[in-house]
Amino acid sequence: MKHEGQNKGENGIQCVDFDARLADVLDGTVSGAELEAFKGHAAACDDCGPLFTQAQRGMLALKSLVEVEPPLNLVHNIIARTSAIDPAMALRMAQPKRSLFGRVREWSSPVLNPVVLVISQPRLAMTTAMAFFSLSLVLNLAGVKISDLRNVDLRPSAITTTASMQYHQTTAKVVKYYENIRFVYELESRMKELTKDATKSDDQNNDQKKNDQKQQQPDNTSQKPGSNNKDYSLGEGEEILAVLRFELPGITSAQIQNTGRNS
Amino acid sequence: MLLPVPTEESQLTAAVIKRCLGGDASAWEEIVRSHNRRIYNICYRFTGSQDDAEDLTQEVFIRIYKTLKSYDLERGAFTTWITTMTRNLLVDHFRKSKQDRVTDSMDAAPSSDEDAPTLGEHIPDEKPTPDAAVQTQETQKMVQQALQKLSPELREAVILRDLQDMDYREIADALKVPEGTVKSRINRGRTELARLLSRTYRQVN
Ligand SMILES: [Zn+2]
Repeated sequence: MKHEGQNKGENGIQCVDFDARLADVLDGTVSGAELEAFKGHAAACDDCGPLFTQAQRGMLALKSLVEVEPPLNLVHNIIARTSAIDPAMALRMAQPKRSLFGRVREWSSPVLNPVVLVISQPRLAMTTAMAFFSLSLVLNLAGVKISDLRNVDLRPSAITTTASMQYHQTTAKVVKYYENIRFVYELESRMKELTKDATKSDDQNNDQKKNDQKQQQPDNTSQKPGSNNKDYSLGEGEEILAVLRFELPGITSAQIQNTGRNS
Repeated sequence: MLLPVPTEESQLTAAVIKRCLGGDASAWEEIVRSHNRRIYNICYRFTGSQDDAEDLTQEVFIRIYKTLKSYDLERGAFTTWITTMTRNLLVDHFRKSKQDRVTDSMDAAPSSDEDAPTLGEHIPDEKPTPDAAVQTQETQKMVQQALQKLSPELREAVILRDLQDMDYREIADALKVPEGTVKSRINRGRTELARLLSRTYRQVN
């Protein structure tokens, strides 16, 4: 910024110091002689004076922004999607405690019968859907893709014969979900993932082409002088990892600043 | 003051994370419920789009879910960790959308933002006396539009500071830049925003 290079030294502080203290002053954490020197500089310096007013206005404008309400189904959708990522983890999370085994036995026997019978029980009205999705889940865990599934007879009667054992095992594992809304997430997520699998390869090809085209376009983006766009203009292949900086007693902020300087 | 003191809140968070890693699905849901609002708001204020914010929030949680094991309970605030992840996804998103658009709306020129409706479109010509609610709504839009025009570095800094009330140390951790840089970006973000707003105000009146 224009004023950063100048060393006016108005009222005991310089423009760089002014910039360094500006945020703190607006936070109200600066007081006494230091605050007086700051104010004095603001009044006397043509560069810093307006900066102070503008920063204050900008801050107030930002603080006037209200918190927005996330969509109602956001939590639901997140859980649906995370359930789809790692079916093994989803199953592990859904694993019933030992005390539930009695209950598993209690209602797992109809599951071994043709699905049609199961549907007739009101409590298990969802079971046809469950049978399909659980089968999909099992197949998916075994590495079978939905494209392979297209050649499989998915009529409930056919499923029951071939997959009842797997289905039973899966059911035992996810029994907790069956009595819980979370199971619905699971069903949805499996559905989404299976659908995604089927279209994934096509999408990837398209994305690749798109990216290739984009890469060839010249980037005419103008950057403001002094604004560090480094992270936001990294190449596509570069991944920024979430790394936590540790706060340890004994490390000074200067040391921390040095470690951060390379970024 | 800057040292991580194990607060009651951080201890509770730690307990929930442990439960989640132990296979408790309700713990994961708890994590989602307690952080989705914050992440959604950061994404919304950054992108200015509800749809993008929703997609990005989901992506953030997918990333959290996948990497939760790597989060070290002893080593810093969970919120900061999540913020870093959110921020990294915003960087990716920004780069992608920058490629998708010939005009870069991040540039401060008001005419460059072709997607966003101009302020003139929001304010009727006949200027009926707007009630307080309408006026508030207009102000919100105006500030959000100005925020959209800040460079992403300045934008994220002021969002984390002025909207999320994070302290400088936390922001520095999340953005992985020195605290001095954080403050300087916040200063510039605020002043730039004020300039954009006064420019918009002059155009309207
Ligand atoms: Zn000055």
